[in-house]
Amino acid sequence: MPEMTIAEALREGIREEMRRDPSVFCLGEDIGIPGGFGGAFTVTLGLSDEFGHDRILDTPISEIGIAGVAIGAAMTGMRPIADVQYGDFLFCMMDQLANQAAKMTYMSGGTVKVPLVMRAPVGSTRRGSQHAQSLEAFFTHIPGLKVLAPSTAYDAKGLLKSAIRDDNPVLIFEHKLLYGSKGGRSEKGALTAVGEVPSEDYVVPIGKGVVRRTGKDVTIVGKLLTVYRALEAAQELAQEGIEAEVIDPRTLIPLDKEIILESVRKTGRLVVVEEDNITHGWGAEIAAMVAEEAFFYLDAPIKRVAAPDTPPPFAPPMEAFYVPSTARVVSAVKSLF
Amino acid sequence: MATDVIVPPLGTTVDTLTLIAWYKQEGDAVLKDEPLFVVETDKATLDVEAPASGKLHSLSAQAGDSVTALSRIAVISAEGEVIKPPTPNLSPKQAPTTKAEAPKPTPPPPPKPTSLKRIFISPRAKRLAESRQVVWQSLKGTGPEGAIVERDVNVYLERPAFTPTLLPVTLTTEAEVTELVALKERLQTMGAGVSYEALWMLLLVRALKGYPKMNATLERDTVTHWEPIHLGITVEEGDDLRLAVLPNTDKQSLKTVLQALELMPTDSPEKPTFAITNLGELGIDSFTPVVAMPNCPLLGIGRIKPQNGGNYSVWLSLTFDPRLVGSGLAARFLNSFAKSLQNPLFALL
Repeated sequence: MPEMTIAEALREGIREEMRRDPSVFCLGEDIGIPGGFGGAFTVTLGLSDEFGHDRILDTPISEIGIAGVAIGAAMTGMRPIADVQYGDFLFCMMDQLANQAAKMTYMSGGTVKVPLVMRAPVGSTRRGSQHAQSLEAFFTHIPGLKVLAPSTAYDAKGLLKSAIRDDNPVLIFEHKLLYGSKGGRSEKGALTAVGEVPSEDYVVPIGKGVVRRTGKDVTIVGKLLTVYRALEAAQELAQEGIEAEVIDPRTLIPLDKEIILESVRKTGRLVVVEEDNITHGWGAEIAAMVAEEAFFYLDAPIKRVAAPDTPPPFAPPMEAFYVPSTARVVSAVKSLF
Repeated sequence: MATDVIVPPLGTTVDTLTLIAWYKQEGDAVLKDEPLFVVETDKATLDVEAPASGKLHSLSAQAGDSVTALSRIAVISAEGEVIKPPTPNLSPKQAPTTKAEAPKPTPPPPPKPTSLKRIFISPRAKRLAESRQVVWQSLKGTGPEGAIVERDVNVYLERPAFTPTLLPVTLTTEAEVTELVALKERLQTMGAGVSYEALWMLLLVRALKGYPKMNATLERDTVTHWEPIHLGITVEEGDDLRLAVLPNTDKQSLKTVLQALELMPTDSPEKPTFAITNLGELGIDSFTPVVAMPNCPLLGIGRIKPQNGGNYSVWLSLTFDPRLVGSGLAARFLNSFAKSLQNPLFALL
């Protein structure tokens, strides 16, 4: 089975779906220009050679334009994959995403479908406050959107294909340090999230989480990069006799509550790790859900490990302080014993 | 329901013990069978376990106080029970005694308000504790901020069974046996040789009939009072003493007892319901009749010693498990037996 980076797996998924379904097309800034990178992180690199510039559509630097075209095309029968150069730019599109795309199916009594896919890189990678946020949680609060967060190459391809075939607007958040982008687009401090990816057609179902590591003493829930921080922490903790179970929900909306609840019922302890600002965040939602549905199984308070309530800092030492480190996860887990 | 915390009857010749320390304080939650206080007898210190689970209150004795066996020194109330001031002890003999210099009898202190110290327990631990009927309030928490967590409940549930450090109790008295010695000599001159063992056994049967509760055995925690009297008697076997049993001793005559003692049945299927050990003929005046906890009362008989004025006396030591018989009953029995020796002919009728 071929090994791929997440960027390569996504490219493979797009390629397969575009071959399978002529209504699928990509649009975004610099995703197919000759001599370009294939988007900011090489995901669409080379696709214009096969599909041409009509289906790998380069847009002006206008997020409002991208969103409008993508949503309109989706409502009228196409299956667009919009490339958001940096997730931070999603804020430019808020009205179109929250008020239009997310609500059309409800407001039309189900007659209008919006089979839109929007891919957005997130994560602090020394790019400062406006190119570094992890803003998944904003979109998990908008009914009508599905929100995916693949952390492996296998899941990236499988979830992307599920998203493309889904009739609802789906946002896929991708972490810049997990892409495995090469050459000029490789990121400092990136992990090599290389994994086996089947060449054949497969999908990863939306709404199913996965246990990345089994353990009996504490449940750590992470997403995207923090899944890896959780796994690193689990390794350290194991040396001290604490066996952590690491859960990767993969899909934020809809959420696989049961995989988290089942784990917490076993371990009695929960730590949620996310790169976003802590207040009113995704971690708070997971904590509340567990407190409501598994309270009597808890043996310790629920802990959140997240970024402080500031924009991501630009200075590397400050950024290192800001993002949840493995050490912080270890320390949070230990505080529960 | 409130349970009285009673000083156990553990003393030897006197029923006064010293309260060394409480392991719990007024208002503390306690668990049945956990060590509650420690007392000192004239032989040893020993832990006494809580008779029930609940909240400890109405402590009427402090560390250093002398306390009387069978007196109440505290009360344990079930959870949620309204704590009332304790009713006074009924038996004046059993009233707790405070330090000698205490000038006036003080009424029991009014119950203190419930402890305000909040105990934290995780929902998981609480769920486990309540499903297993564990009174978690007295567990020691080892979780975050000292909260009781699941492992604390598990440690409690998996604790080794609490074994009380009870000691056998020995009561000792000196009995006058002048008449008994005379009787034996008279029988001897009449050509009816008789051993002291046979006489002890018959006299004991007589005494036991007046104290049926002394004719008892303890198997595990079960006390059985017996109708037939199977007297055990230690016999020398090599360097050791072994217990032989004369079944239905109460149905025997002096003659059959004598015959039996000749044969010395050492493999009787009956277990002794009372036993004697006679080291007097080995020249021992007084002794502790057994080392291990006996499962029936055991009477040790010492040497018959001549006294001034042509009298004779013997030391009697009665050893028993305090769970088997109370010290008071045993003391009355021993006294009664000792008195019967002054007029053995009457006893043998």
